[in-house]
Amino acid sequence: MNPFDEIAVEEAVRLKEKKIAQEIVAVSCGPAQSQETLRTALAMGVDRGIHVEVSGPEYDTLQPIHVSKILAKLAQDEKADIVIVGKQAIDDDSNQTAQMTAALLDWPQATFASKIEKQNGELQVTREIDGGLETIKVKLPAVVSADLRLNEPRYATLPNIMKAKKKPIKKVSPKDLGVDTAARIEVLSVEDPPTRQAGVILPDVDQLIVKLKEGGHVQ
Amino acid sequence: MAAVACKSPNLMRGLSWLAKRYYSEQIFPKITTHYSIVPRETDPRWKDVNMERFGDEADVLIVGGGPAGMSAAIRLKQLAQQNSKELRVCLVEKSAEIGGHILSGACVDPVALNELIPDWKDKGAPLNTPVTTDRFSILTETSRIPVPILPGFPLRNHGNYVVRLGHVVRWLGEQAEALGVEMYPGYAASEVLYHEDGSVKGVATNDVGIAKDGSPKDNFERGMELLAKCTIFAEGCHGHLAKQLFQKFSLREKCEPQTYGIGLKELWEVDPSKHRPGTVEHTVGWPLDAHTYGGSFLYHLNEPTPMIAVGFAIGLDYSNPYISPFREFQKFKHHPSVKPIFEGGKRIAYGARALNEGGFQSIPKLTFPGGCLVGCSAGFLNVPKIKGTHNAMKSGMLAAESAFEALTDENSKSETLGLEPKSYEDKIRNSWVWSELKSIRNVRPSFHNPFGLYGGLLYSGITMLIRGKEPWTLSHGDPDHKRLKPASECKPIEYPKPDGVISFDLLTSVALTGTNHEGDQPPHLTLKDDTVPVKRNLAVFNGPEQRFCPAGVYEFVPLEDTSGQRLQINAQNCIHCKTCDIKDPSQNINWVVPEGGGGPAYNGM
Repeated sequence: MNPFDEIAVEEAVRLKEKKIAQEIVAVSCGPAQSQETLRTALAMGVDRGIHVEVSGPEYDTLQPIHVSKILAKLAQDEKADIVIVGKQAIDDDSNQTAQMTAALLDWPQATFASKIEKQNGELQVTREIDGGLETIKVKLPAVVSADLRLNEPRYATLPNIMKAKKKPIKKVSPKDLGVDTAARIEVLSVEDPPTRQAGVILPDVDQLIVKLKEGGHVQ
Repeated sequence: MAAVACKSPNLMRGLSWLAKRYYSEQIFPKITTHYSIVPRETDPRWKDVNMERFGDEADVLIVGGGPAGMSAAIRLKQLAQQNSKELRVCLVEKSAEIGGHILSGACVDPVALNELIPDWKDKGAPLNTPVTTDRFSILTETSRIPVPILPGFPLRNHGNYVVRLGHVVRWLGEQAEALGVEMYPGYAASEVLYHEDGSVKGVATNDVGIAKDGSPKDNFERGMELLAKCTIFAEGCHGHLAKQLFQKFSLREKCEPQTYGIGLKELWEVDPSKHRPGTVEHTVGWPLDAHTYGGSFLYHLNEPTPMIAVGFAIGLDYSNPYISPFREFQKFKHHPSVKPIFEGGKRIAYGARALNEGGFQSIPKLTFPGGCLVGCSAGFLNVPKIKGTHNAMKSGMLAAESAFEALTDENSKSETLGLEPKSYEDKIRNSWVWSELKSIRNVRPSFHNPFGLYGGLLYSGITMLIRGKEPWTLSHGDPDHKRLKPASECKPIEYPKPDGVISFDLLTSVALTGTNHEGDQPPHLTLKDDTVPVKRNLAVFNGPEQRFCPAGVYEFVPLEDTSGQRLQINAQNCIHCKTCDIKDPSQNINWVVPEGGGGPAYNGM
């Protein structure tokens, strides 16, 4: 499971343990292997799973906009109060799904959450931002995205995995949800980063100036 | 030194006094924190921790999801279906995904698969590369001497397939799941459990949430007890639980100690014009000297991309502690007849694993009350044929048949609570596994002769021609860990620097294995005595562990305050090859299983 999503699942389970949430539904979009990811979520304490089956070439071009539309539709169908996701996926590093899902639903969003508290029917969320920490209040229903320091996820222990086999996973397709998965972004190229040039040890400052001038770094 | 000693005993006494003071002041930092060495029962940090375990019972439990384990699981379910019986079969595997820890050449003889799943081709088994060309050569520093492979030689590969064994195991896993086997990858069996009568009751999976210093973390969870009427151990070469079982049930009393090799392997995508799918090449000789057993393999695979599998195996009975198997492998790739295939190519994978070489003489007693050993855990690899998968699978199938008999025979009364599949050992003796291993039993030990490689090749040629009918059985001699000579008696080896195009450095290679472990856990390379690595391994043998580990786990680093060194264990690099447990001359290293899910992430190795 994407590590940030694991943190999101853990937070959801903690909200349920604190009796703030009543039921947790986990959603995964992908081929048959996504069921294993859902089983891990079920083993951590999620109540039921929804597997949106996307495989083959359709899966290769699945992009955040599609996932956001799927999540938005499911959130409406399931009458969810909170949609919580990881802040970004570690394969594409897009960091877009939470934000777009909130926009599609017209719900408030609290991204990069490092602490979530419920106060008077609203969520008070502490966010990690470049300059430090920002605390905001959002009305429910809302979309939240989990950052690294929100919690440390529990292990999905083997007895829980065995129990999770009995929990239900519903299978749907993007078409059932009315989502068109045609690619909106075309990947032009993927390249390795340029190989690091070896460093050179220079004997004195004069040599350094010569080298800098040669490289055009200094007039 | 000796001359000085003779002339002035006072000087010698003074020096030895200095040495003693130096050592006692030397800091031996604590390295091992694992509970198998530092017990939790007497540890105050564990006083209030609930150590209860949840348990579940199956009919048969299989430890390890490799070819042997999978074959046993599939065979059990086949028998259950044929006989309309209900059988709960569970399989645990420490790798996060089935096939993730599998590494092998591999050129497979499909004889066992043909018996297990005759319609494997229709079911899509990934045996895509039938062998078309077979070559065996002896390398010298500059040339390559071809050796003809006569029909009847075990090395002849007609009818065999080059495979990516990790993918085959993954496919076997899918077949097993379809038959209803409960598979639990990502969970390591860490402890054998016993009934009161001493028979095996099952295993316990690893605890999670223990910090690096051995204390419990907030998310500490006890492992689970997986109990079974019969437990089949299929951990592969030098399994850590099998090591305990050998001791507990004295399974090795009547056989020779197992001998081993280490195999390193890389996958390359090469220039399509150089790619000939179905080509199998083996070499012996350079870069090894005449007294170090080993050789290379190079197989051209039939995959969507022009892929080759290349690797090098070295017998772990080598005597020069300066040998680095990894660097010998990298050196081999630069041979003038080998280098061209890599030019214009790209390396995409690397890995390593220990393998059994003991064969017939080293097969232990296979059954014990409560279970049995299959596959490389017992040791059925055929060295001259360079194949073990077919024997491993067959042994798994025979164990399954035997366990099924023990479970369903209403007449047999077991003396112990754990069932012993007693007929398994007889089944093995009456099968082609036994006769095959017996016919080539003298090949490997014949290399321990004054002419080394050449004497071995000569004798092996003869014994293979007469199918091992000679009335004697050669012994392997000392076990591998006793074979190292002190560093002072050996010449250090100057290895060429990796060029970054064909040969590579160790750490870049380790990155390709995808190995990862939870960082905050006790190192799973445990030392019985934390002082031995510096006091003995470094002092006498110049620290061979820093050379034979194919993942750079062991490093001798300078101490901060005093001059001197300490052993640093980079447990996160470990690729679970087991070489250190085998070759440590002090037998001080005990490999235990880390948190499940950790280790290499091989894809079709």
